[in-house]
Amino acid sequence: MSDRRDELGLDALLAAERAADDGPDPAVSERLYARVLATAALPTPPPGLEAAAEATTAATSGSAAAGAATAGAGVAAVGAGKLWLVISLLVAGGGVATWQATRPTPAAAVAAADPAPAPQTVPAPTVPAVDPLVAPEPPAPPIQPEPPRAEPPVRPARRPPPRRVAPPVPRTPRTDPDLAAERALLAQVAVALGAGDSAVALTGLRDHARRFPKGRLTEERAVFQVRALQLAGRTAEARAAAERFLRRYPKSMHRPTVQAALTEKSAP
Amino acid sequence: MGVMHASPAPAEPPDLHQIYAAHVGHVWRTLRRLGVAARDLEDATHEVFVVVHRRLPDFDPERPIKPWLTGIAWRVAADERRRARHHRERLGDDVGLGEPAAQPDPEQLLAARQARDLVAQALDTLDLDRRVVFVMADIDQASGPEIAAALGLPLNTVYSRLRVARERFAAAVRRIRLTEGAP
Repeated sequence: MSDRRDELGLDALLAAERAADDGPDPAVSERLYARVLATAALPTPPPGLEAAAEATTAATSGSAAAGAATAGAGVAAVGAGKLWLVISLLVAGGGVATWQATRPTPAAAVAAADPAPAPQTVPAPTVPAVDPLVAPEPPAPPIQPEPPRAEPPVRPARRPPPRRVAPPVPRTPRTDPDLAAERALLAQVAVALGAGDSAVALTGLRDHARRFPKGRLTEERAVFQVRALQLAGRTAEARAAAERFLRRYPKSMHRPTVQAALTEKSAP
Repeated sequence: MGVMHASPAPAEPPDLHQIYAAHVGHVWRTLRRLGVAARDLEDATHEVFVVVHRRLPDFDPERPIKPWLTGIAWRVAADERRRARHHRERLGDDVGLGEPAAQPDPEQLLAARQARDLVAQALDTLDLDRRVVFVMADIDQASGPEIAAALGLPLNTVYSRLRVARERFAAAVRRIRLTEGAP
């Protein structure tokens, strides 16, 4: 996509548009503001606006949940014929948190800074949403010997801490709010990866690393990291990250994916 | 510009006047980019700020304000479009351009003007829902998640609309240049 854009000089065109600073001229602007105040003082709003306002509110407040709710669906479209899909499915699942709620700074622009190739996402057929994390099956890699997190989550605790009798129990139930938040976050990353938006993906990954340094999806995060770096054209870093991954998770089920990434020359 | 992302102090919600003073230009340009005709810009801007006034208590000051304003502008533009459907000469007057800021070099000015005309024409080939995503992403440089939040859309929808919008925008630019020999 980016070649074609350059060839057409679209960046320059859009830059010209971006630089525009036209607006109402001062007289109009003053008059306008007076009108706004006058209307705002009226007891009843003109019809039609209410709906717009309601919708906007829904947009502002409901979006995090909406985003998370659809993350699963989005994720299904991500991998499109790639092994990444498998990992996407791994992190797909419930959860309400999205990183936009916590992100302190907005990510880099979607398009401008991103030389990533056109997303080859084809609206993928939905894949049966198996959830390997709750299924007993996947060869749970021997990572994270650390005990179940002792310190409470940063967020205000919503419910009493789960019983801490847990002996070396395998992975815990999906009702765990931290796990849900981790999943939601990585699901967003997966969507961004699928769309070729490496900047947003990397921001999400950083956010995940910050919030869940010892989270239960660190392995998946590491895989995504490889992919995101690749997408961003940071080939050397991607390669280093892949090698680190293979050393750290020698029995990971994601090895083939990461190995494939190692053999690719650059972003596809 | 800097207003939107700066939130070091746990913010008081900004008041209407501050928002108006800082962002009336953004709202104006956004409405224009969304296809509101020049003659309707004043009314549409008025509507946006009336909604802003009403919704201000719900605005989360931690969030960037421009995408929020753009979301409101999008809905006002959609209303406007519905209403304007019968007197149908949307692009009648100088849609593309307000008064450009004083620029020294007339040639530059001409080039910028032509570029903006071209952008306006190409934008006009997009339907409103894709258009708003494109404007936010490629002109306002908002991130995917910001756009999704401001418009109340799933992130994936934002990306797919953006992808299609970019393709169509590029195709339109190509076509317009071919027919007009424009810049």
